[in-house]
Amino acid sequence: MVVETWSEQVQTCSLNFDDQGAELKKRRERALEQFEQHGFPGRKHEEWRYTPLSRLAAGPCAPLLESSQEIPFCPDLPGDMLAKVVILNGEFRADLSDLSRLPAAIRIQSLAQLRHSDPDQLASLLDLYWTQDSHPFHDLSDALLDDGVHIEVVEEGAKIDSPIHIMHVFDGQARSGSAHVTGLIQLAAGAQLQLVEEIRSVGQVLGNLRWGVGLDPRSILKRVRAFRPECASIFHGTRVIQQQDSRFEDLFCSSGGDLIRNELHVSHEGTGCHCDLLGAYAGRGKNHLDHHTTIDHKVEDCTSNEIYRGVLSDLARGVFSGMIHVHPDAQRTDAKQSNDTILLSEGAEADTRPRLEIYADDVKCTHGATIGELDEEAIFYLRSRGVSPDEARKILVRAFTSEVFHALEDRQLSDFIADEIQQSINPDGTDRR
Amino acid sequence: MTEAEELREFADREYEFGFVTDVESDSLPPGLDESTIHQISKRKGEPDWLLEYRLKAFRHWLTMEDPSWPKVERNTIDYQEIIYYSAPKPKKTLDSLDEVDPELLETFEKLGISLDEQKRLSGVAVDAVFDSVSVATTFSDKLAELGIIFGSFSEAVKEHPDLIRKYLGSVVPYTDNFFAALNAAVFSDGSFCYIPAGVRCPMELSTYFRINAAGTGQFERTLIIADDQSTVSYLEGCTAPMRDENQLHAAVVELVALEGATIKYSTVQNWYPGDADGVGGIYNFVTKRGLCKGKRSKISWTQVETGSAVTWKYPSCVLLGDESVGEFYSVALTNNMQQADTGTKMIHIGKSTSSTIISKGISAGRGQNTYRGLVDVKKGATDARNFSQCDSMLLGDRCGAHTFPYIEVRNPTAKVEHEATTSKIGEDQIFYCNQRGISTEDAVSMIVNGFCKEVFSELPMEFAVEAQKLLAVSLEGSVG
Repeated sequence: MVVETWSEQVQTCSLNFDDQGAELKKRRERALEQFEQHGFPGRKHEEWRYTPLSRLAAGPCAPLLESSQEIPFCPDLPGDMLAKVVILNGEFRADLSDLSRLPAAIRIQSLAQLRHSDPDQLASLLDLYWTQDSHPFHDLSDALLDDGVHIEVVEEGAKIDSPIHIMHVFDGQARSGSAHVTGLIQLAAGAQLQLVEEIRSVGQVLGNLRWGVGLDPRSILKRVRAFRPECASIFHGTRVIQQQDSRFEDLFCSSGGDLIRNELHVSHEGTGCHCDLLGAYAGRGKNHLDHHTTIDHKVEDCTSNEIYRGVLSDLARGVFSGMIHVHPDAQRTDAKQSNDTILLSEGAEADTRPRLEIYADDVKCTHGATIGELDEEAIFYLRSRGVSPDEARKILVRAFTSEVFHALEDRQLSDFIADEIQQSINPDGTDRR
Repeated sequence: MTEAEELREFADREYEFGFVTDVESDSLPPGLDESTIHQISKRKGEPDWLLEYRLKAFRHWLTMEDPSWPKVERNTIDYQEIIYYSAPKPKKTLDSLDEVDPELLETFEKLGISLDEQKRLSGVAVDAVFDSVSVATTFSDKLAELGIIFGSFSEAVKEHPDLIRKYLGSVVPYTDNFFAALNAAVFSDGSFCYIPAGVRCPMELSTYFRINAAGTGQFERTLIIADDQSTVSYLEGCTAPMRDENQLHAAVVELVALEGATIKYSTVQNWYPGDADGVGGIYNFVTKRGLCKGKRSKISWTQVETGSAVTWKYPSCVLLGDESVGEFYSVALTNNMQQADTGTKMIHIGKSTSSTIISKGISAGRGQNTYRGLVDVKKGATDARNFSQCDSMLLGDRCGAHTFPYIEVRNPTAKVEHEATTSKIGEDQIFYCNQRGISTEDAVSMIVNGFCKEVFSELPMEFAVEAQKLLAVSLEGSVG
């Protein structure tokens, strides 16, 4: 019943697009068909068993209205950014963005632009990152493909020192609804780029984001993703394809969110690749924070390091499902994966699935998971030095989560994010005694 | 000899226990419908309530689908081709071992488990299940003095219907899963054990299962009840003769531990694994679950899995009583084309419950070994504690080792830890042993036994020896 309204809505919107490229059109039609057939999978589906998509299925499906000129809510992130890209309710807003200081080595354009100028190139890029398999959010993104951003570092060996700020804003104040954004990033050989991606929302919205990232040999991409407080339902999917000796560093931070599903799929296609997948999250209220990562070690001599840490209070639920897949030829792979969760209240819940699938024998793979509460002795230690119980808990939570920030060079930014995470711990909900 | 050659040589080892015993058997024709169930029940002279139970299970089974979620590849099973009842022809009531078919006894001897020997030397009471009917029960009288009931399931149905009625399906209901439903509908025989309050069972109880008559699936049902403050250690071991078609083994094991009771259940499983190309072999789809019903009760599962073409089972503990303890120690070895998807479920419901999981997976040849385990801490399980350790060892570069833990925690006072590692036997370790005059084969066996030590030390002594031998045989030549 509910899916019908979704699929009706999607169908109406999808048919409005007048695509130039035949391939793009085919992709759109196939995605529409798949979404109509499957809708949002339920709990019986292994990959979605912990994600309450029923909340979404009943939620707003209409497209978001155009928003005002101002970017509302929460204070800006600190730090010196090279450029700013604003995507408001799914639309690349040149008027709100600031690309004036961009060097020639880097090109940024809206996806709508690419869709009109070279639909076949866009279709082949989409094929590269997203297969035709049924996936509710990717199908929605394909069926309603409209805008987003296309970032290319075209000059080999170009080093871009300061980060580019990408701001996704979903404004559901005027009317609740959904928006779908596709981003593409391509780095030339030896290039280096930093991104700070920020996600803000207000009102009842569903933000559906996906990124396709291609890293040529020896290139380095560092990305920070900050999900700001009070985020609504956000799906955020990233597909990374790494070539020889490239590096990908990703730091996920989230201070709350109604329903956040973070999907990350990294594929090592060339030897000597490395990736760092770091995450810190705090949930309160009825927040649901869901992390699904897959690292495909396809060739030999690649390494990966993954640490996700969460703190849950009130009735929040944290999910971690990590997969390290070592293919038959990926000898000498070194992969580490860990997920640690602290539960602060009676109603909080943590579900974790750190998985290993290994088909090569000369590998080092470890994973670990812990779930527990804060150490009473540590709290006592702080209290005996005059720190209040609430403050003691906050200090311990900060110490616990900020360990994943060590990789972040920008101290100002890392402090800011750590503060936001710390603030989103509910001190009232923490004291269960 | 190169590493690969050695590997091949080891892998080519034939199954040692492959032989067929020629015993006339009295079987039902293959196929399954309500009349099959009526006939099984009639032949066993069962009361009406049990027939009803079977029929209910069968009707439920018809509504279920053959599950496909485990990480194994297998042929689909035609449930109409299986013979659901096969009993060696009844001769007369057996009072002593001498009356047992000599050919049968010979079979046991080939397996190195001569009942006489066991009886005299090891003090192990053996309830030998030969296909579907229990043919010889030893030590029963001795146990009876203590009030311990130990015998075949069908005898227990006749002699202790109240106990069976009370506990049958109380831990594994027939609605639990596809194979549990099938078992509940057609189970042929099995073991039943009741330890009265305050009794410490003086000997290890043991059952050897063998699948024998061609084309028979075996559906045993084991029920063990340990009353307040009692203790029992139960051993189960299996070897099966060589067969070409796939045989299904869908047993159900239910354990109930009441207040302060301890049940230790050990398994050494060595069903026929199929040949090097993966033809034949047993499908081992067993539902095993223990319920720690009373306070401070304890259930401990230890398993050594070296056989079967496909092993798929999760011996579990439901920790209902406060301060109850669940343990799972496992060694699973897959060689050639063998596949195993095994692990445990620890369900914490009571307060201050604790569980330990130690799983060691060894993959060789083209074997695929999967650990899949659930640690579920429910809301009321204050101060629950779990420690899980899952280690995998890969021997050769064509096998796979997979770890899929599921951890679900709904109580903040819980402390749950999980860790896993994957490794191989280093060339330097082998070299070190070679240098000291230890052959490569012995070195591998030594290292693997060291790897599994934590599990073997949990096995009763006589089983530990057998398990180590089994592992060495199954592994020989798998590594360089």
